[in-house]
Amino acid sequence: MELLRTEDLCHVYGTGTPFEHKALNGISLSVQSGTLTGIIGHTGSGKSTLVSHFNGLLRPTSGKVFVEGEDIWAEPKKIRRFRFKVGLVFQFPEYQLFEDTVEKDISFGPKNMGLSDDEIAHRVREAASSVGLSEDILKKSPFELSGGQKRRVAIAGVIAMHPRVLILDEPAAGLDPRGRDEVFSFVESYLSSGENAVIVVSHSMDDVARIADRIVVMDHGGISLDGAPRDIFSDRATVESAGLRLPFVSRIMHRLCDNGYAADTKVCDISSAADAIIALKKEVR
Amino acid sequence: MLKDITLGQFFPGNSIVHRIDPRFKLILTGLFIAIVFCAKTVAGYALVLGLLLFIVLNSRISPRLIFKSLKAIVVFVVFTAVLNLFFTSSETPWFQWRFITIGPEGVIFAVKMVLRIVFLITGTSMLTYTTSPIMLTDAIEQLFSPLKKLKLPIHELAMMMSIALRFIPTLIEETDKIMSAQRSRGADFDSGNLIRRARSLIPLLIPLFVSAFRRADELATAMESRCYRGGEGRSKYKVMKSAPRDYIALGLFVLVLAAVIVLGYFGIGRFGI
Repeated sequence: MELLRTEDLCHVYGTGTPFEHKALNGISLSVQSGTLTGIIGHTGSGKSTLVSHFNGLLRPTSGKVFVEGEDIWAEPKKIRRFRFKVGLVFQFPEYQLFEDTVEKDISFGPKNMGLSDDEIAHRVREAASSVGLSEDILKKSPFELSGGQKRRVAIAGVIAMHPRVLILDEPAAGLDPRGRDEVFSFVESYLSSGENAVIVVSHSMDDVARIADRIVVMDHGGISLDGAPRDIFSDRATVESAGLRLPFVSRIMHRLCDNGYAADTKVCDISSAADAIIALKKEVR
Repeated sequence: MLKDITLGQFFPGNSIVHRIDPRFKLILTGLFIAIVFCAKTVAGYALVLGLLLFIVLNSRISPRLIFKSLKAIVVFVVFTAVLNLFFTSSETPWFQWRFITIGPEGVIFAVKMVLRIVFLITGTSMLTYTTSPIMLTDAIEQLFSPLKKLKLPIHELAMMMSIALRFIPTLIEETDKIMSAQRSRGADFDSGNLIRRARSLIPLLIPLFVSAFRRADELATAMESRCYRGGEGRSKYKVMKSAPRDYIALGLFVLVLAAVIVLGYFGIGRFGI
């Protein structure tokens, strides 16, 4: 099912000033339920601007955004209800925490939705456990937690709203490899019901390559590539002209190709790359 | 939006006005204020306008930007004009109703006040338009350094000022970010009555304060690890040197001040009907 769609979306910052800047240039894309989309692009390619349109934080200069088939700007006064359907977790979300207990902070979103107290309590516990926070942390102040725990609290605060589309902007920035794996594993688990969609914004191909079923590469406010990771990573020229670096495994495969071996550049995980290299070695002998 | 305020912003450039020693610019600004308040006659006002145009044209700052900054004070100017127009007592009123009087004196006074405010705002903002905040606080520190003898912490005050100025854009950006984050969780900042709106600011203000303290702490550590230990024996990266043009500008301003006082004293070109 289609959850999110944009039609020829354009956004211009500072219209009519010397600082006028076209951040988005005719973006059309659609996101289906049950999928994990990775949006990648270098700094200033427009990826954060794009996701801010998905839940109506920014209003398009021209073009339209549809959530579950409804034009979100049809009635600007009712924009708030789309913010609950499309949950946006910002970069370094731990800086948005403000309540005196973790429990209250996670319940901020559900409270704004006007849910009953029982429902809120239930959702808070469910969201906390889904990001791996234990029951005893709920009564603590968010300010005495570690950085990784704070980030989970912030993500739980968005998950508790049960958004149909969960968007995370650089969810792994500044985390150690273990924290990174944990974040990505519960992001993937959010998809398990098959009803929701997840969008991960990142500039790191390695992170996105592991989890995404589809990758959208952004460059200068437009989409330069859109497809399955295998197809994206075999197109080295376009990826590199967008100012990005291929994942480690793809770089190895491309290097082999450059040196005259018939390596498969569509391989993007380590184990199949290893198999491919072993096969190549046998062939050469 | 918060970002659209041009009043008090710095526009980098290399014009003669930009290059005048910031210490002189501060003194010149003081002189300019004195000139505006000493001008009493039509000729005096014309002289002030001439001086102002001279500065603006030489600064190479687009007049459009200056008009834009005046827009910010339009309400204040109109309010002053209306007050003066209605409440100045008159010997030959054209219209009188209870405490409201409209007469020639009121009109003249209103025009004078409006001109005065516009001159003052434009003139003083030329200082901030053409001087970077760092240079400005440096100049303040040097101008007030004699007060150190009175045990006033001039260096510390100047440092506090430059840090505060430096962090205004950072905090504005931070506010924008936190507002977006809380909006994404359904926060509503722009509806409801006054109490509700004030309460809705809590999710914005707490994270903002927390991050301001965190930044202050980080900055203090960064300064200390670069051996900052107050103003004692601290040398300057950019040493301010006065050039002949600074003295010429000073002379020009003093001359205009004298002319304006003389014009007012003899009542040459007095306001009248």
